[in-house]
Amino acid sequence: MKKDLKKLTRAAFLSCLALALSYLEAILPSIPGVPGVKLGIANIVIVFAMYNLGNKYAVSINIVRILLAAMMFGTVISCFYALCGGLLSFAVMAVLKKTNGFSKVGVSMAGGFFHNVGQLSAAVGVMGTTDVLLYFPVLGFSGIFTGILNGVILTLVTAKLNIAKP
Amino acid sequence: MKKFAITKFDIVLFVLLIAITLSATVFIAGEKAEEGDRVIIKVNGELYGKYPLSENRELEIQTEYGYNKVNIENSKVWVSDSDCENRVCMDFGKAKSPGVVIVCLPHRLSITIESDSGFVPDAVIY
Repeated sequence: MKKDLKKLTRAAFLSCLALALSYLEAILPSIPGVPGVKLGIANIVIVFAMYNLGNKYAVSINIVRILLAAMMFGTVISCFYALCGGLLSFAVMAVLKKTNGFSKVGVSMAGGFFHNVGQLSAAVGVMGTTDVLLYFPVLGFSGIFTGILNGVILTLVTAKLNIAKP
Repeated sequence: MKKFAITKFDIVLFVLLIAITLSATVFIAGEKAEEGDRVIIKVNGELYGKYPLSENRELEIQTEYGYNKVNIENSKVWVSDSDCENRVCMDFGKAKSPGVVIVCLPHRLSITIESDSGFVPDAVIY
């Protein structure tokens, strides 16, 4: 019971952190030349939670983050896109992590890539046209590189934190 | 590299993802090199209109999803105004060739360019 409480408290704290990072990203101007491309820094927290609290907590934190972000500074449709990207990305990351063959950087890279694949698939569904797939190269490359960047940040942060497992 | 504990699977996955994205890029790059002839505007997957890229015009597109202003000038097309919440559609810049898409996700608006020459499918069957 005490252990659960500790985990729950950490999960609540991480949800706040992920939400704050989502907000930070929402107020940052979009990068010129690559509209719609984002760093996805909130995913650092999600991958951190996967490794430290487990999948169940991590997916809950992610869903809480997406729903709260939509209520505070998003729309119904942006929430739908975020869920499609977030859940596909999470599923892929969970599978890769389970194999124990990948580093955090590798897991995060796959997360970035499949987040964008999920969002683009959602766009094809909502917009009713495959024309949007012409934007796949930009989203594919940006997903891979932002994912790697987030994985590197996560690894460095984790090394500094040296936290005890709850 | 030791710090990050990069594995051989990481490298394989990286190469795989890059290869997938690169092949899509190469596939589309051929169309990017072409000159476009017509602007195709779709709203919610349905054709809204086709306009010659050679004729300058300003389109006020008001649909149930929202408002976008589309400009066609000097064989280039771009979104110059929108009442959507993020205005990402305006960041796409000016498009002039097939292989490029301008999207306004909240308004379900997509703008592509068609060319008379080269590979432009009339219909794609899935």
